[in-house]
Amino acid sequence: MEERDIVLIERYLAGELTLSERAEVERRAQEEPAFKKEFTEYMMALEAIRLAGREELKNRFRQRDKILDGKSAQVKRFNPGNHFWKLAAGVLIMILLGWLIYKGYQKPYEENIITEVEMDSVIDKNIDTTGSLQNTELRASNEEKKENKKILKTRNKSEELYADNFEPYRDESMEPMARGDEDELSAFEQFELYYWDKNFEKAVAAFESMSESQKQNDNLRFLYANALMGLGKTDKAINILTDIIKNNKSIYKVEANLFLALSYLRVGNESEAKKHLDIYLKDESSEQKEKARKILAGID
Amino acid sequence: MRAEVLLRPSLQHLRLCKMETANQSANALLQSLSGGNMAVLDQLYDAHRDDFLKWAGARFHIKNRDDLLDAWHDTVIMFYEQVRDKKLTHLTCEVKTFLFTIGYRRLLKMFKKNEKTDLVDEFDANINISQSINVIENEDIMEQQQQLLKASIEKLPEKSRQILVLRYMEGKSIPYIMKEMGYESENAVSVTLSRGLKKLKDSLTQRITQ
Repeated sequence: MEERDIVLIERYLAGELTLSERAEVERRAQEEPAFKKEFTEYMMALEAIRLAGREELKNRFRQRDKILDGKSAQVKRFNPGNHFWKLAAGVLIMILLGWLIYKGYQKPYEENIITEVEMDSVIDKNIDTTGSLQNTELRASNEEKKENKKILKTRNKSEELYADNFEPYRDESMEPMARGDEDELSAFEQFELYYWDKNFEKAVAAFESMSESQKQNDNLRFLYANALMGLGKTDKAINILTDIIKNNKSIYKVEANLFLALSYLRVGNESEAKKHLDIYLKDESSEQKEKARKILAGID
Repeated sequence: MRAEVLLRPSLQHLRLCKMETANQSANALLQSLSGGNMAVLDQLYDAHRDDFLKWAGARFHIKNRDDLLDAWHDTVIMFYEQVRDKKLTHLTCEVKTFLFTIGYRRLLKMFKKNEKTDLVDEFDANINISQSINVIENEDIMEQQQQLLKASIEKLPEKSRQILVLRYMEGKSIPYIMKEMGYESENAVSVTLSRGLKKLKDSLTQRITQ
């Protein structure tokens, strides 16, 4: 088959031919066996592309359903005619104002991180100084510090587990095909390259400059979530991984549970971490069961 | 009496004007969608979804919301493909009416397939589509063939699949794809498209002959 015939068929599939050119292609597809065979095979390929395109449209519409359902739930929930919700809104505003005022008097976060040793010495010092815990204000303050100590202990343990076990997802098939001058690469190719090279800041920037349709692809979003975890942007990663699991169409939907568990560990939420580790371990296709068991043992 | 005679034609005129305006805007919408404006499709989807769900649920006694949503997805996709392939170039009714008719046919087919025979096998009297609209419905491909096609396209690298969909499903031009996907030249796009299409074709042929 000649090259120009292939080009002609491709243009036919793309709807770029004039009416007379189309008629000519259709005539040849009837009368010339070799042309007919090639034409039929290309038409089948077109049908496969259309199926894929329909699936993409369905995914697009599923996203729209989420937006529409979210909006209507909000409207129902926050019905201005409902006195209860007016009251609830007022209470929420008061709480928010109170929190803002409280934050205004708070020291910066870093200054609040007190190690276990320091807290122990503060408690001990107070007990030593007063001799007995008769001062109720001091007793209350020490109780609070003990509670904070417990929370900090849990948080530090979770963070350690995360640090010991987080490794961005990688498999050999992901190795980038395109190398060379980065400026010549597309945003997608740059994302592949930077992710592979663990340059997560650039990977995230490349992802964010991809097209809207690419950014909605759950396979790419999974890798994006990993890159965000690599940068410590765990909250955003949690939202994305949760969505991927819910959508249930990514090839990484199973592995997403492991990474979601790790993300929850990072933010100190052990119960959610355990939940997702259990789900991960129950799935036959999980790739890193050993690691998941180790993390679960670490939490317990 | 004279005033009454004058009133009647003017009410008729108003009704005709309203229909004409609706059709003009429907045809402008078709043109915009045919030119690749997907935001228009999103707007259509959002504007009529809830009405369709309510109507189809009541009309076909369907309680399962996922089934209704599936039907709505298919309806809008079928409409889009008709416009994209330039099989639907003008409307003589409102877009909503046309969409609901497609949805009605789709649901009717679904019921027939499931052997539910309590529905009347004709269009609902309230939906009246002019003969001038040439609606060619998508033919159902056999289940097995669909699986084959899906398996072949899923084997393609993500990027190849994306540009093939952009070109042959969404009808985007090569300059558009070059810009969207960050290619250096139109030639690079053409070559990638050609290769991807050939690879897909060969993969399909291989599967069929196995």
